[in-house]
Amino acid sequence: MFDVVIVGGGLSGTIAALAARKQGAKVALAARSWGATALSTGALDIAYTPALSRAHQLPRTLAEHVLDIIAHRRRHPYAVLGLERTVSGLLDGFDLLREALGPYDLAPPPLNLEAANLSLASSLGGVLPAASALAPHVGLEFGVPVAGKIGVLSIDGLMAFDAQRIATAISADTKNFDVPTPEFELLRVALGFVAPPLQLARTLDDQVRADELHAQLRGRTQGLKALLTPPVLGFARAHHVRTRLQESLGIPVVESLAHLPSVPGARLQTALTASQAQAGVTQLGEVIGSKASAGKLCSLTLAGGQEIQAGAFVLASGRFIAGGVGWQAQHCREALFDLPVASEEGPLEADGPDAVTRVSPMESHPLMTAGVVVNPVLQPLAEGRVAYPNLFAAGMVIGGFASRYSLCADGVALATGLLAGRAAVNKAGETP
Amino acid sequence: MSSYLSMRQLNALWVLGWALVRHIITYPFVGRRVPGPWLKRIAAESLGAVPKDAWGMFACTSGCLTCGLCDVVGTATDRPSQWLAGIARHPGDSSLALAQLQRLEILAPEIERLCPARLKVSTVVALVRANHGMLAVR
Repeated sequence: MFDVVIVGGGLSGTIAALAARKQGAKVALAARSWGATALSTGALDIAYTPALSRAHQLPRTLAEHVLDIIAHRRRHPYAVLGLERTVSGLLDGFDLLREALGPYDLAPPPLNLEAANLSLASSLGGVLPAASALAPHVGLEFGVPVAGKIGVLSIDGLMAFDAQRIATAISADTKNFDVPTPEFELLRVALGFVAPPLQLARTLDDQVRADELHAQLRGRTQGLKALLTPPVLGFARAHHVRTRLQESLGIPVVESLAHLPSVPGARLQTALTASQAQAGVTQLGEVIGSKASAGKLCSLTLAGGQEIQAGAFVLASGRFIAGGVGWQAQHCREALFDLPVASEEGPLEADGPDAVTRVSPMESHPLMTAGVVVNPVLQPLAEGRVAYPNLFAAGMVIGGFASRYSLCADGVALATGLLAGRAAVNKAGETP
Repeated sequence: MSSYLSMRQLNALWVLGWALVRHIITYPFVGRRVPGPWLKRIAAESLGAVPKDAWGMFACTSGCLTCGLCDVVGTATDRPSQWLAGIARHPGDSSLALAQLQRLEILAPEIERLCPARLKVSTVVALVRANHGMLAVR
């Protein structure tokens, strides 16, 4: 018998589990496979809403972006939680994440809601706005003037990172920020093999291979302010590889944000899974069913048939990628408890294609925002009523928002994960 | 300009109409005309008909998103994402992955544990192994 069982092992599930453990609860976390967290670019998105604001002046700070979401997206989890709970959830959740990632050298710098979004280099080219990022991706901000020349590392055989294109695209993007165009110098190295990003990262964990990279760069970085690299500098020993390169070259070494296959995402998910074990969270496998009694959720059934009982539960199972939301009998439903889902526009009752098709490809698609509906204490609702009083939801499984429209997926995961974890502990305490 | 366009449209209608009339008149005698020589020329390059049993395998293998996350399993020299993408995208080329099936089978439980697409790698391996001969036939 556990106090709290979390379903889902991504960012929101992990934060919920750690928050519950912080309060002294006996916690188990059931995860079936990697989800969207493992596909993370390395950026940590809290809020970015230039398209939403109708104000004369566009939002600048993170706090202003959060306010803008609350003002314009009434079904967004930030709006459902309210400003005060959102901000405290974001700050406490971010601190918990930093604490969890600290031992794995991925911890982002402290969150400052009064600061503007950073403009970080992306390996797809150009810069991306992000509230913060994992440690390897912080240190080169293109939204402010960059003094000095920046080296861009090009590794032969790594097709996922075109250094020339990235330098050109960053230069083009910085014109929008009204800052001087940074100068770039391409540094090409050949490691003698072709590998996908994750393979290359794991190969560079090998000291001999990492030394080859150092040897090829030695003496070529004089006069450079920093070195921008593809996000492949090691996997299990990423910190060691990057730190050694920094010490050897004498300049900051910053990885760009990633696209798929994402080394930063795999690093983040691996570190989160390790932090669960480190915090004393019992790790379980896939959940395939549940049992309720007298309107309360009693237990979850694992794929092996084992029943897991708890006082309260947190649903952090993600959306389509992680399998938390899916299609069942022609209807889009939450997968485990068969809860109804809603989009940003309201309940999603798709009997035909009309509900999920759009005339213009530029219109937001309802499935992008499909997830369960929650009340202000994050309890999922079914037909307007609380589905189970001891069930809470966290992260992307909550509907009413699309991370791509307001760059807020990590913020939602942190705030709702923390608040759902704490609420579940309180609810479990009430259980006789 | 408008009268010029009208003349062009009239001309197009005349050409299409005359072609339709010719087709209706000649169809009972010559049947459907197809680019026979061209089809014969590309016959050697076209894929064979997909055996009925192979459709089950396509359903099983086509779930791969090529997200590449399975590259974290095994040793740094393993290439599970490339093997799986090869199998999923073009089972006819499964001979390329056949040499790696044994290794893939060993890694299968670990890949299944973290695959976001929930690909049943052990089933894929078994299907490729069982159907390799059939898939390789064109």
